[in-house]
Formats: sequence, structure tokens, C-alpha cells
Amino acid sequence: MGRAVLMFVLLMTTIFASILVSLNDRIAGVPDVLIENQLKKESENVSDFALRNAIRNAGSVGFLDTYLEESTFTGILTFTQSFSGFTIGNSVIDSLRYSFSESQDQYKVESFIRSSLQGYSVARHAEMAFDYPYITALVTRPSVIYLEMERLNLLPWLFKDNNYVPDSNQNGYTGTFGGFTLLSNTVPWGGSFSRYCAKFDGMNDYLIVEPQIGPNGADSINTDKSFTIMTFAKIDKNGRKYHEDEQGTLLWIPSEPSDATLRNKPSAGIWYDTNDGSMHFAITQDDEDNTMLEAVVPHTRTADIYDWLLFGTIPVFNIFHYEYPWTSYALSYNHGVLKAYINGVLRATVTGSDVRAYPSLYGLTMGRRDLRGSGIDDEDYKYFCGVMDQGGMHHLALSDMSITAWHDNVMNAATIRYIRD
Amino acid sequence: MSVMLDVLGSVVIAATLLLMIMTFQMQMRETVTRLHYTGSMIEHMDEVTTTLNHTFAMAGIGIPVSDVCTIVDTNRIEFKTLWDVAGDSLSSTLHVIHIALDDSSSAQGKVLTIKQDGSVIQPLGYIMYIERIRFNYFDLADSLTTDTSEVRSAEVLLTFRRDSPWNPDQPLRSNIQMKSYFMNSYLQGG
Repeated sequence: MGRAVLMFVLLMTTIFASILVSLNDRIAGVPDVLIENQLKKESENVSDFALRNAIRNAGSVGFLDTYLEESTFTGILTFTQSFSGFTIGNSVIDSLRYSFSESQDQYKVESFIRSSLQGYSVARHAEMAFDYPYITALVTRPSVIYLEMERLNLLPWLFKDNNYVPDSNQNGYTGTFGGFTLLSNTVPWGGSFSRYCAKFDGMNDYLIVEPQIGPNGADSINTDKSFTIMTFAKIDKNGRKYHEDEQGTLLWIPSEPSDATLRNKPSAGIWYDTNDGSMHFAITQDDEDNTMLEAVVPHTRTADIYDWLLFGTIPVFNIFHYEYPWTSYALSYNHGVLKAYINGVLRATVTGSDVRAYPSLYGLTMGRRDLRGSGIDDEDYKYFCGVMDQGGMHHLALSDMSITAWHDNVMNAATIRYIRD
Repeated sequence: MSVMLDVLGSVVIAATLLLMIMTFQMQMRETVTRLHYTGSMIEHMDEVTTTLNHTFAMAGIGIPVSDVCTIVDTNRIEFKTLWDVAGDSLSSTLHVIHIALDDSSSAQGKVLTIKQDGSVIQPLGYIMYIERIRFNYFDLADSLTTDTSEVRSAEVLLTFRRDSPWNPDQPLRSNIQMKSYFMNSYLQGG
């Protein structure tokens, strides 16, 4: 009898305990929902407050004078206002980011908020763009390097260090001009999106972006399994007089510029070959044979950018160059597949083995091949004759659609306004 | 005899106490289940309204205001935008967003789908526990309209339904009414 009662008590206790545990779980779940909802509402309100303040600041003369007094509104100007302990209720305003494009009237503001309450955390990112260049707001903007040539380098031979163009991505990949230019390396061309472009006389002008070798020995502009390089150009239809067959390098990322067997096989490169009248888009793969994938696309040059005096020794820049249309050239590489684009249209695809491109640690050159060491003649550099603009590199292979969008938006200079809160 | 009475009395008292405890437990369990149901339903409804409100707000980015909407029916809406709703970022391509009630019934009731370019967006493209939806549209002056070129905001009436944990024949329904503004259409100047 005693054992039976004991068993009965144990059974009842077990049932009772299981009911209590179940109840506890359910009761515990109710405040969670309430807390989460409360936190979301609060973070939304704080985010609205922060974004409204950022919009007000972006148009405030006082704010701009205080924080951006010395800045000029050329290219993309970005300023991040970071806060320490800016707490409202359970939310913290981490920072406000302001991006201006060309003027104070074309801006984008973003707010970054964190909220936490009783173990729950919520992060909010709100943004608003007002007449902001569409291409700049998009992810299709080259992410690693973007040289928009928005700088007038007057008399670079007279003023020291006045021969560079900044990287619009603010990654610090400044492009430095080489060669001699009397007035300026960059010239205005009347575009609404881009005011200046870089000119290359086909004789000794080039632009080099030096690498930035990181602690692990790699450079972020290094070519790997997926990337894109691109530029706009007007290729002179004649080239440098008496050197017509030498011209043509638009973009060149060298593999091993000092190695005689590899110096003419770029990690990635785009050039025009006068011998076959075609554009060449090439990748050297990092395989045993250093296979060079090459897409060859017939191309007709139409621009008249330079005239020549004294047997092709003195270039005369055509100030009416803006009458000729721009053409965009892009190359994407993705796991063994090379794609060549002209004017945002896919023109050729070449497929190789799925290996990375040859690793390069020598930066990027526009306007000539990057060749180093001995035994190199001037004609080997294949200098470019014409003008270029919007040159860059993206860290991934852009889709066909994205490259078309990049081309279209540079050409159309569209602006956009939107709000996301 | 007195022993028998003691035993009977204690059994009666113990049984009564036991019944009281059990009744109390059952009532408490039901109350907590109701609370839990209400809480989870509120959470679900909150997520749905937030998602719908955000989706509507991103309509019309980069699109002329009169061309934003292509379908404005009482049970579905379709509009264009340069916002990638699936990736929640600005996009270089035009997207078509379609919101409608999917009539193919499932165990959880009908499903409200949010599709981008024909594909259901994730993770909140399938919205469950919806029984009914109705859209009313308003123009710039906040007057009712059915003209696709004039729509600037939408009133959404949603009926959520869940089977009752106690009586499956009597499902529990919750109604919600919200108004979503096409903020970005307003920002385009319309």
C-alpha cells in the first residue's frame, strides 16, 4: 500500500512538474514578443530622427562650413560623422554618413542605429539620396579603383606633384601620370557626369596606379578568380604619326613585367592592335603553362584626337575632340570564363580552365604596357593615343546587365532620388 | 468505524484538492496558451505589416510617377521600381513587384505572396495565416481611385486566421487595417 501511494505521488508530481515547465516556457515567450516589438518601434523612431537630422545637416550652410570648410565639392566627397555614446532610450546612433557628388545639392545621407533591450538587439540602416548620380549610388560602380579623372593638372612640369588623379573609391589608389605634358594631363570634355578626361599622346604618356601591398603580401587590386576591369576611351583613328602600328594599350595589369616570357602576357589587359584592327581582351591564367585567354573583337576607330608636327615628334591635341563619341571597354573574368564588352554589350566569351588569373603585384597601368627590365624598346610599350575616362576595377565579375548599366549611366548622367527608412 | 470515516474523509478532501489543483492548472494552461497565441500572432502581424509597408514605400524609385503601377485590383497590386526588394538595395535594373493572395490553400490557410520579377522574395515572400486581403487605392489628394497612373497610397485590409488550439471548427481571426504610402513616388515629384 505504502509503495503504491509513493508511486502515485511520484506520478502526480511528474505530471505536475511537466505542466509547470510547459507553462513557464509559454509565459516566458510572451514578454519576448512585447520586448521585440517595443524595440523595433523605438529603433524605427530613432532612425527617423537621425535621418531627418542628417537631411537637415546636408542642406545646412552652418554644418557644411563647420565640417567641410576646406573641402571642394568635386567628384565624390564623403564625410562620416561618428558619435560616441549618442544614446536615445535603448538606441544608440553610431554614425551619419554624408556623400556629396559634385555639388552641395546632390547628396546622399545614411544613418546607422543600434538598439538593444533585455538581450534583444536590432540594427537599422536608413538612407536618402537627393539628385545623386545614379551610377555612384549603384553597386556597379567599380569598387576597387575608379579613376574619374576629375582633376585639372595645370603645368605639371612646373608644379611638383601636380600630376595625379584621385581614386573616387577613396581606397587610395591614386593614379599618377608619366610622360611630358605641356598644359595638363587632363582636359575638359563637356560631359555632364564627368567634366574631365585624361589624354594620352601615344608617345610617352601613361598613368600608373601603384600597388599597396598588405601585410599578407597581396594587393587588393590583385587579379584573382573573379574581377572586372573597364574604361571609357576614344581611340585616335590614326595613332601617332610614323608609329601607327605601335599604339593601343588601354588597361594593363602586368603578370611579371621583368620576365621576358611573361611581360607581354598581362594578368589582365585591354588593348587595340593596329595590325588586325581589333580590340584584344586578355587574361593570363595561373596554370602550369600560364595560358593566356584572349578575346579578339574587330573594332573601328573613329576619333581624331591628335595631329602631329615635325615627323610625329610634337603632338597637337584636337580641342574639338568632344565631338567624337565615347566607347566603353570592359573585361570580366569569372572562374575561367573571360567576357569582352564594348559599349556595354557582350561581344565575346572565351572559356578556359577554372583557375585564378596570374597574381599581380605591380598595380595597374593605363596608356601603355608595364614592361620592366632591360632589352625593351619604346615601341614595345604600345602607347595609347587618344583620351580615356572612368577607368577602374571591380572586385567581382560584373554581370552583363551591370556592365550595360554602368555604360548607360555614365553616358546618360542620370541622377536619382530615393528614401529608405 | 472512526478509522473508516477518517480514511473516507481524507480521500474526499484529497480528491477535492486534487480536482481544484487540476482545474486551476487547466485554466492557467489555457490562459497562457491564449497569451502565447496572441503574442505570436501580434509578432506575425507586425512583421507582415512592416514588410508590406516597406515594400510599398520602395515603389517607383527611378520611375515616372504615372508609370509606377501596372495592376491595381482589390486583391492584388503590381508596380515597378529600381529598388531590389529581395536584396534591399538600389539596383541597376527595373524590377516588377507583384503582391497577391495565393488561393492554393495550404494547412496554414491562404498565402500572401510578394514576387519580384516572377520569383517569390525571401525570407518573407510567403506570408502565412492570411485568409483575406483587400486593397483600396488613393491618389495625391487622398481620394479613392482605380486609375493606375494616379495611385500614391494603398489601404490594406488583412484578415489573419489560425485554427484554435481548443476548437479547430472555430478558427481565430484577427483583422488589421493599414495605409501604406508610396513614399518614393512622392519623392519623384508626384
